[in-house]
Order: sequence, then C-alpha cells, then structure tokens
Amino acid sequence: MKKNPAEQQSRDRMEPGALTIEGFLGTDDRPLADIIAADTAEVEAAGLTIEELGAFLEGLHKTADAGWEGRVPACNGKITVRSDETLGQISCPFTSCGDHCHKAVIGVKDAAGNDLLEFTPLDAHLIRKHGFFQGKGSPYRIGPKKLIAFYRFCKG
Amino acid sequence: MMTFLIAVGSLVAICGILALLLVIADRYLNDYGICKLIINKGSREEDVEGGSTLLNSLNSAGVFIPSACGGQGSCGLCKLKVHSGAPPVLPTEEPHLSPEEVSEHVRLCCQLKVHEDMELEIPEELFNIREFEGTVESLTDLNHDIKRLRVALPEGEELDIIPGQYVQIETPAYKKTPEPVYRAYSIATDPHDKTHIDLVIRLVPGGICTTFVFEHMEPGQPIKLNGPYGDFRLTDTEKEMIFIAGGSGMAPFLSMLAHMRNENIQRKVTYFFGARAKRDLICLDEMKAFEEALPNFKFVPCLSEPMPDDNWDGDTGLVTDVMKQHCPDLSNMEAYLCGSPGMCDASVVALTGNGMPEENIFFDKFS
Repeated sequence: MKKNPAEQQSRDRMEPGALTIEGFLGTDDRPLADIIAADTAEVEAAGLTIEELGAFLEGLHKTADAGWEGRVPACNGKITVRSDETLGQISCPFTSCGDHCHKAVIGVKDAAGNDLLEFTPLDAHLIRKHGFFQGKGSPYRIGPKKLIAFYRFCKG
Repeated sequence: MMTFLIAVGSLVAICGILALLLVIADRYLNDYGICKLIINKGSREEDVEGGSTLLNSLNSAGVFIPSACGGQGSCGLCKLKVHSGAPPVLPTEEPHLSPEEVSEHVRLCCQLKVHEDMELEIPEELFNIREFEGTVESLTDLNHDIKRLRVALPEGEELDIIPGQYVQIETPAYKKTPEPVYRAYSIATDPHDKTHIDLVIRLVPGGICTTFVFEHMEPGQPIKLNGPYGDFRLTDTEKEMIFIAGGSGMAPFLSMLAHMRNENIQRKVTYFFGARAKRDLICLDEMKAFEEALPNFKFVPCLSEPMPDDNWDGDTGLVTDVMKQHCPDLSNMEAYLCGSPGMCDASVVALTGNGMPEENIFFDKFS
C-alpha cells in the first residue's frame, strides 16, 4: 500500500536508532494505518475504546509519580504501581503530534506482589492519542488482548 | 515486436531523463547556499550553510543554545526570538509556545531550518557557553544501573559552573544510530574542580545515549560536551532547605553540597533520597563525608521495598511521607527537587500541604 509523506516521516522516526535503539515497529512491516486499525478493531470488539485504555495507563503513571520511586497502591488496593524514572523526555514519533513524554518505566504488581505489566509514559500516550500499540515484536508493545485483560482486572 | 521494444525503450529512456531532472532539480532547489544569521541587531553576524536547523547552524557557528533533548523538539528549551527569515509557527513548535510568545516572534530553534537570512535575538549570557572535546577519564559503577562519568577537559581549559547547572554530551553515530545525538545531564562536579565534569547517568532501557555510555564508552575516549546551562541553583537566603531526588537526580545535589562545604555555608539541609531497595542506593560514603563536613546536613535515604537481606533499619515508605514525618512544619523552608515533572508536581502538593509557600520550591526544569 502507498504511504503518504506524513506516515513515512513518522515511520522513519519509529525505525531503530531514530528515537530509541530498538524503535517502535519490531518485525512488523504493515503500514501504520493497518497496524492501528487492526488493534483498534480488537479493542472496540471488546466494547472499549483506545482512549479509555490509554487514559487508564496515563492515570497509573500519575499515581506512580507521587511515590518518587516508591510503590503506590492503586485501583482500591488491587494493584501497586512504581515509576523507575530517568531524567529527560522523549518525543512522540508521530510527526504531526508534537507531544513528548517523560522517560520512565512503570511497573505494576498485583496485591500478592506478582508482576502484571510494565509500560512507559510514551506507550500510554501512543495508545490514547494515536491508537498505536506499536508493531509486533517491538519490545514495548502491549497487545490489546493483554491490556484489555489487565484493564478488566483492575476495574472489575 | 520491434515496435514494442522501441516503445518500451522509449518509455525507459523518458523515465530515466525525468529521474535525472528530479535529482538535478533537488540538488539545486534545495541548495540554499550561504545564509546570514544577523544576531542582536547586527552586533554579531554569522555565515552558515543553509538547509540545517537553526540550532545546529548556531552550534556550528560556536553559539550554543540550551537544548536538553538534542533537537527532538520535546524539551522546549531552545527558544529564541526570530524577527525575520522564518516560516509560520510549525505544528511541532505549537505545544511549547504561548500566544504571547508567538506574538513576540519566539521560536523553537531546533525545529526551524535556515533557508534564507535570519534576524535573531540571543541573550548575551548564552555567548559564554562553550564546547569542549574532553576525554573520558573514568566510568564508575555507582549501583547496578547508574554510573558516574568523569570527563577531563582539554589541557589548559577550565569551566566555571554554578552548582545545579547541566551540560550536553554528544553521543557519536554508532550501531543503528546514523548521526550524533545530544543529551543533557546535570553536573555533579565539585565547583572547585574546574578541569573536570562529573555526570551521574542512569541506564534508560532502549536509550541511545545511555546505552552508548554503558556498553561502548571506555576511559581514554574523546567526548564532546557543551555548556554550562540552566538556572537551577541555591538561593542566597538562610532558609532551611529540603532536597528531594532519587536515582541519577542526585547529580546536582552532589555539586551543591560540595559548594556548601567549600564556602562553609551552614544552612540546615535535609536530603530525602527515594529508592526501592538497598541495591539502588548510591554515593553513601560521599553523603557520610558531607554529613561530617556540614554539621547541619542530614541525608535520609528511604526505601520503598527493602529486601529481607537488606537488614534495613532506616526510613521506609514514600519519600513525601517520610519528609512530612521529619519536617512537620515547612512554612519557613525551601525545597529543591530533581525528578520528573510528575514527581515534582506531587511533591509541590505535599510541600504546600505542609505549609511551604510555592515560591520556595525549585526544580530542575530540564528533567
């Protein structure tokens, strides 16, 4: 499929070595629009929206930030969240966006201390604003299925 | 058959000619030649090769503009007034510019390309920022994911810093990264030592610069850096202070405490350092030495998830909670924070909730 210039520019910024060492696409060679459409369809089939899922992760990041590297309870104690911060920010790879996120890894555990999920503030932004869960094989891709299950666990 | 071959041949020839014309046109249409940067109403003029970003063009002319993100358009620090020669505000600039700034011709110079002569305003103090090619003197593990990088400046060169400032270092092109990138780090150096720059660097998963530092950097290698930048610094008051930082956020406080020791500043200060477990703590010996040299300084590490074999008998829990226990009344104190905007926001809530005026809270804006 033919790519428009804006998509190509965004795709270039998602390649390994542009913004991060590994990039955002993994081994996925589908057009960005196809990646986004497939993942969005999976979310909508579950009766949810990408905005709900992304905003939920952004909220967890905000909760974790209050802890300054400490573990903070969230979702009525069902989970705890902790933010491993490094100084600095990273731009959104979508060239039309202009947003940027702090560099951090948010770790989520259940009440028993089992690891449930890891995500970055940029992951949350990409899902909420662009419906982009990243390409298959990308080290930070959180597939819709996994995220939906996590969301339902926290909200249920 | 011959007719078909002639037709195909002609088509190929026409396509080839058109492609050649495109290459030639691209070469000449995108050749902006030498452009003039007219700075501060002509008090300084620089001729630069057109086509590059204003940030890089100024760098090549020896004028270094603060930029913590290396020109990605994410930090919003490289603002300058551009009075002529710039296109309308770009979408990548919009999130960083207020309506007042737009009306005053403030622009993000990492996003603007120099295509013609430009008239600019640059604050005079930025002309003092310099670039050095130093040498990696040592690279020391502070814990499992934080290193201290010590850079020796070139023979005969000295750098005066104000504790709290930062520098940018250049990561050369390597592996999949096609061109050099710049990243900003707070200076951890004792300001009396004018011939070295110390940085505290935490490994960022997937980070271009930190991966280079952790996996490819070795003592003896050359390293380019420029600076110093930033206005995060101690005030001249006698107010009691609180420092809050975790991980590599300790860097500016190492420099500030060395400055206090050098100048015999006896202000009362408590440093709350948040970490997960004992393995995440850093610079404990240095903090102990500062406590001995500065009788009014107290270091309070606090662990959120100490391991059973840590045998930890210090403070546990969230930094902000521990801070409240130690300092119930903050109304006449100052706080200095080095962390993400979200962490700083959360601390502002905790600090102001315990009586600290918001104007007494300072944080490192580049982080």
